[in-house]
Amino acid sequence: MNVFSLTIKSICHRPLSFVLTFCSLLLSFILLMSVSHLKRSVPLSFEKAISGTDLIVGAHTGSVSLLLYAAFRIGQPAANLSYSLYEQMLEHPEVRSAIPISLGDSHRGYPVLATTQHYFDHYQYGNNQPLKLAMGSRGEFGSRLDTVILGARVAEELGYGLGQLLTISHGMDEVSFEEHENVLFEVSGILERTGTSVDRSLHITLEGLEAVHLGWNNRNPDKISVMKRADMKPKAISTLLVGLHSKTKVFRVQEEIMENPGYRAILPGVAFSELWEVMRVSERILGAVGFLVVFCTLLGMICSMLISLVLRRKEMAIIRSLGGSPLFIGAMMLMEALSLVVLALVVAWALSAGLIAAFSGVISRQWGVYLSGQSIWQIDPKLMMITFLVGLVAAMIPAVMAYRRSLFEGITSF
Amino acid sequence: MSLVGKHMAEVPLISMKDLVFSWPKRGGLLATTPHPSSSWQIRVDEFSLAENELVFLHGASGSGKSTFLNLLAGILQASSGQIQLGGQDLVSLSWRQKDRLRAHLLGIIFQQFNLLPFLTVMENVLIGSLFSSPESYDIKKRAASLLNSFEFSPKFFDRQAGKLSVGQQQRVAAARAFLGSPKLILADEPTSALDATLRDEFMRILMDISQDRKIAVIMVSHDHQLSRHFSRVVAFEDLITVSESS
Repeated sequence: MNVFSLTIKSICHRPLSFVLTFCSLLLSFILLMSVSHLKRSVPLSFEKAISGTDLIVGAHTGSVSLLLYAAFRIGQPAANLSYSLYEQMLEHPEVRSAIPISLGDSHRGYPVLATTQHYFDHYQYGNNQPLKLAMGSRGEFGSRLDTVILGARVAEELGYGLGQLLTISHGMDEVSFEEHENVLFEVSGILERTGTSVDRSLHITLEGLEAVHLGWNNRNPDKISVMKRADMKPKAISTLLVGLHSKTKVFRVQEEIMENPGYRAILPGVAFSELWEVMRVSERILGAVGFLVVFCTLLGMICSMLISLVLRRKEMAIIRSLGGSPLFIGAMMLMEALSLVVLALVVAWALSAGLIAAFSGVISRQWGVYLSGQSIWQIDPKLMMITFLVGLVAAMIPAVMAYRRSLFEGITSF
Repeated sequence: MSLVGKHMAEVPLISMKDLVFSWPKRGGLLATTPHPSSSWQIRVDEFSLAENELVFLHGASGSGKSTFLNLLAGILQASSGQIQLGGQDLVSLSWRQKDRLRAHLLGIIFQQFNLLPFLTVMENVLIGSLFSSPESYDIKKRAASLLNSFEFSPKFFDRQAGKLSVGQQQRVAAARAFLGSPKLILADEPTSALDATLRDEFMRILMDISQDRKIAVIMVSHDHQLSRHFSRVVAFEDLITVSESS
């Protein structure tokens, strides 16, 4: 028998108070860790969403809303850009790539993104990684109006495969009252997982989107020939992602674009900084609330252990009478409090990882924030250390009290 | 009646002289119990106990009984005077040394609730060895033998202490007190929770074992009937002076 086994047996003798204190600590730690994980994951998720793009061009609006719209499909564009701007950018000597994007429709809550072949040639995410097909081909994308390439998550969550037929609906809501039933799109490819908003997008051609809204009908063979391909050339797009040959020219090209007072061109890095500034306040508030909850719970743990000190006077007296030192009694209390803190920390870490894994799909669909599965298991060592140290300080209080009490209190005063 | 032991020619097991103890004034955030602004002081002019001597102490509540036992056990530190236990000056020993001395020389039996209810009978006896660190490898055999002496069959050894009757608990506590081969047993009203039959049975076993092993006993009790088991009887009023100091 040693101090550890004695402490464990003593704890097992008071299971209810231990379990209740453990549960309250566990819940507060889960809250703290989940908030911390979100705080770390959200910026990562945002920053990896787009790379290789030097300018995001949209109708005149705030830079943050333009960024959210272009990179994360969050919000609505204030107005559209002329398609001719895209054509001008393609001809511009400084421009390496120009990717037009039109949004506004959806399929079962997942955004439909209309674009051109350039999207698959030039769009980059993470560390300049290109998009790759996991299945199918994009050979028909552009040549056929009614093909669709799915993001990995859309295919996975809706259970779609190659050859699947689907329609799109107006607006971004999960349930739409305006279904574009005139065009049946056929899945021709499925992209590899990227961990960005691409995963939850359906990609169609700009002409396909135009055709849908012009009433083209591929469900009735007679009507197909009524309209010519040229009629389906888009007149407007929602936004344009521009990559330059040289980053040093970015301000010049930005100025050129913004000579048109209706247009806005933003640098993604600058817009991200603005976004973090906006988010930092709420991020700090969330963090502070998490720590306050942990602090209150640790206070609760101290209170319950101080109350148990009164109830355990006899236990301490017996140990003292046998030659147990005040330090031994203090160590027992410290071990009990520390075992609570450490056990709650470990279980909270595992549970919060599980909870985030379970709800990452919902979070991704609702807010467009992709929580990486890999980072779920990465512990924030600083947070764990701070929480452990705060828990250690909290555990010291009843231990010191027990030490003092057993030092000054006799063994027969009962 | 003399307060000095009968074998003073030999080195006494306990020797107290001009001992004064004052309850310290404590307060502040980490105070464990409230204390009055004035403090109580107790004084023991002289007391000694020979090895293997059996002493019965009796006195009214508030006569300083608990404080006296705590001083003897080295739990409380005397303000002045001298107190020797087994030839060691308790006043000059560190807390750690006093804890070790208590583990090796003393066995203590309380009034009741002597056992840790979350341990088994055997574990309650063995827990004493946690602090006395006896070198014997057959400590379990000794514990079993002691439990047998206190009339426990092996089927009780693994029983949870909280499930024993009060009489059984007192016998386990007594067995534990003898485990470390102590020189002195301090018993604080050990029979007060027992009926007459159990009390006599408990005392018979306790005194037999202590005499058999030549272990001194100091027992504190209100029950004068127990005094017949002892070679010396001392009234607390004659032993201790309690006064209030400002």
